Amino acid sequence: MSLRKHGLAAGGLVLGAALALTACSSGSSGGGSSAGTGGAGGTFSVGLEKFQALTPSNCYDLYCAQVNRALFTGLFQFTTDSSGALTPTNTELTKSLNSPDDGKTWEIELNPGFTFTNGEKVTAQTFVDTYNYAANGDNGQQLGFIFGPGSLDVQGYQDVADGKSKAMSGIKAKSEYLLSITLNAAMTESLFKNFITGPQILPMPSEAFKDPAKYEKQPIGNGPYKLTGPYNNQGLSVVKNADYAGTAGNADQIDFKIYADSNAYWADLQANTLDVTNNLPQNALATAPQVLGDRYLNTPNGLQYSFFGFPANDPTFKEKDVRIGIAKSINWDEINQKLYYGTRQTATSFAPSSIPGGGQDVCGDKCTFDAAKAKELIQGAGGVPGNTVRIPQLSNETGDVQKAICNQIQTNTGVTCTVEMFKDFGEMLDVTQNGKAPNGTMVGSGWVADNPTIQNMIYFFWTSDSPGNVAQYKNPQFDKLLKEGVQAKSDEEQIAKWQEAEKVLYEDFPGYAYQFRNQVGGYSTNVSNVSISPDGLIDLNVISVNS
Amino acid sequence: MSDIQLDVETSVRPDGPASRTLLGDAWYDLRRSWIFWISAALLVFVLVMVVFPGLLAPQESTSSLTGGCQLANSLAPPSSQFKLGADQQGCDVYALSIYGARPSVIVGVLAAVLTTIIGAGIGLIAGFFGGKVDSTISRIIDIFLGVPYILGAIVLLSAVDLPGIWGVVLALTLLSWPTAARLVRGKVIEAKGQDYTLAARSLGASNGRIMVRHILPNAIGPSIVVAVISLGLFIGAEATLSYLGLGIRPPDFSWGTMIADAQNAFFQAPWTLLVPAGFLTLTVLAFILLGEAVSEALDPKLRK
Repeated sequence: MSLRKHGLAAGGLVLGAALALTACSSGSSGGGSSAGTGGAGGTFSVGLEKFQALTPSNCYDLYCAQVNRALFTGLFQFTTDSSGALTPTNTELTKSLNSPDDGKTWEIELNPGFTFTNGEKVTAQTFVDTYNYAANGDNGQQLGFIFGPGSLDVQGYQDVADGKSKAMSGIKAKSEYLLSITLNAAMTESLFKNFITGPQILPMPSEAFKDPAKYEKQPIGNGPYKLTGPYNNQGLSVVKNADYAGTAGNADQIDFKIYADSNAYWADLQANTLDVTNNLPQNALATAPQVLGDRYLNTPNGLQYSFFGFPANDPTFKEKDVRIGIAKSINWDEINQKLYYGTRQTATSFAPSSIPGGGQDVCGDKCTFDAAKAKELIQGAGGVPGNTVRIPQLSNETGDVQKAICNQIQTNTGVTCTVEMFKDFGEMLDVTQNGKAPNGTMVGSGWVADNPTIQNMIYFFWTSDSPGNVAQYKNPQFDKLLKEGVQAKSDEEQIAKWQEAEKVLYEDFPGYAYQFRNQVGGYSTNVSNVSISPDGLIDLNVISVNS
Repeated sequence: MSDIQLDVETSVRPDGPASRTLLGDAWYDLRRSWIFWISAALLVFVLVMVVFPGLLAPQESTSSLTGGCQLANSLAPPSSQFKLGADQQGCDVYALSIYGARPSVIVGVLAAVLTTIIGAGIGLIAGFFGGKVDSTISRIIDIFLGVPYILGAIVLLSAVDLPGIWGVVLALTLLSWPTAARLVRGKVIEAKGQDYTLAARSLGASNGRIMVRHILPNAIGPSIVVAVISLGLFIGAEATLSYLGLGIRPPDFSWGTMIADAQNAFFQAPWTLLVPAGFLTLTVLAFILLGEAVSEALDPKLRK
């Protein structure tokens, strides 16, 4: 997969405005279990920012994913289990999933009765056509990569991606409602479902492939709601799909309003003219809990982290004790409280507890704030060469956090700390990998997971041959453990391998995750039963409009 | 005896001062203006902030290297420890405001001095030589005056990577000299036709001597007034540009960067915004008042 795709996800130290850069992990949590407290009917509005595209195979951000939750029903969706971890589960469209040959071939049986709003039936062939369209390199669809190596690795993908063939030999409709997917290598059921669910390619009718441009203007879906007309930059409206075979949504109509920035919808939310949002601007965080009361949403353990890395080619960070000393000199609990008002959590690993096998204290003492010990470690290692460290800041960030980090490093270690500006993550990669950054420049970015696996959280920045390996970390043992996890035969073995890989990473300490981002939002007095899942999406179906 | 004395002799009042120079006369008037004394008092305070900030606040509290700026004190309200409260980073707002004066005022003074020197020089040449020289210079001035002030500065500073004081001074000077030039040019044309100029010329004085000794002293008055007033405005412009992230950049700070940092926390901690904004407003006001007082004193027509 290309760096361009992941450059989007790697949005830098994830700050207020950075939600726009998130990759989507489509699906939802807590679907059918929660019943609406209010009655059915009514209209409510949802605040969004500009998205890339609504066409399912081209939707790779949180905003289009949120709209498409209303317009489409896919094969699986992420739900939260009793331990708080996100797992992919069948939607009402999927009857069963099984593998006759221990994980190499997967057969998905669909429930009949689902149709697109133009009357076309949703069958196994629908998915065959949709997937082949998405994978075809000539169509330039953003999500085609999920069939490629590093993800599902479907048989015949490469030929389709290169434009040599129209159909992946591994994807077939065995009968009207039986879809079969054959992979190049076997994988566990949970990994297969994670790869196909996040990011998910939702089913598209045959009309979509005839005139993609027209389809993008007014997508036809198979979901609980349908569009009232073509959408524009102001927003779009959806109304209940009367022919929907699954559980219908509570509200009759949902208006999606597209805002230029999150400040504008914070104003509308306070004025009660916007009903639901899953994003609040930085300057609303302090007052939102008081202003909104119990209508303030703050879901911990979002699938997003921020990290720092110490470039391997910079002699400043050669001593491990220097790296650990810098990490220990920053009091993240204080920063999360004073600057983020409790909407961030201090990370102790790369995977929050919403990920199976995550939430462990892998970093341990290295990530525990201790000013005296930090100074001692740095001095014991002969000090920081040049006595200066530089904290990366991207041009779309305000710099408050960088300032606070620098103040803490300076106060606690006496090492001078300044800010190094980068236009974007791409420039940071270029500058640091080619040794063009001044000595002492740390790297850092944020990551929004595609799916809730430890592997997805760490592979991009830390595997030896990854284009996103900004700290130039290379450890064959780490690479091997990650790969063995992917090929594991059971969930337990898989998670154990990945946890071990994470331990290796923290042992070498080329960098560390310092922060998990909560999912923060709010709703107006007009609606009830609103919640945000750790994947960042709101379950629109269960929201009820107060009468 | 210079021409200035000749020029002002007619306006000397019976109860006037013994000294009869233009400046002496102006000083006589200034001393009797309450506006002057208010602005002078404010300016003395500003001067102390710029030259001896250590007298007013300890420098240690402005940097985390010396124990200031502890995040634990974030947005602390005014107290005995923080006279005017703490900002989001836990820095002492009072100390930051005192030390933030220096870059703001230095930018203002440099820009005002450079604008006046360049503007007066070009205006003098245009007005004195007239003809093609004048037309060319006047058209150039028109072009510069056509550039919107703040927009021009933003574009310039975005294009030129010159952070800190010098970029702002460059941008402000480049966009402001035409105003001073046009003012001086008008005054020079006026003075050129005066009897004392004709007398000097008939006595065989060179162009240079006439310009420097006879015309300039009589034409410079208004541009000094404009310089003083615009000094205040330059300080405001520096704050604007720093607020937009184009002027002073971290770890340096000025009133503009403080105001920019304060906007997120304004409703919880209004002092983070009001204090630097107050310092800025008072300083700008002081220069504008001084400019007004000086203008009244220098211009005989405005004398009561």
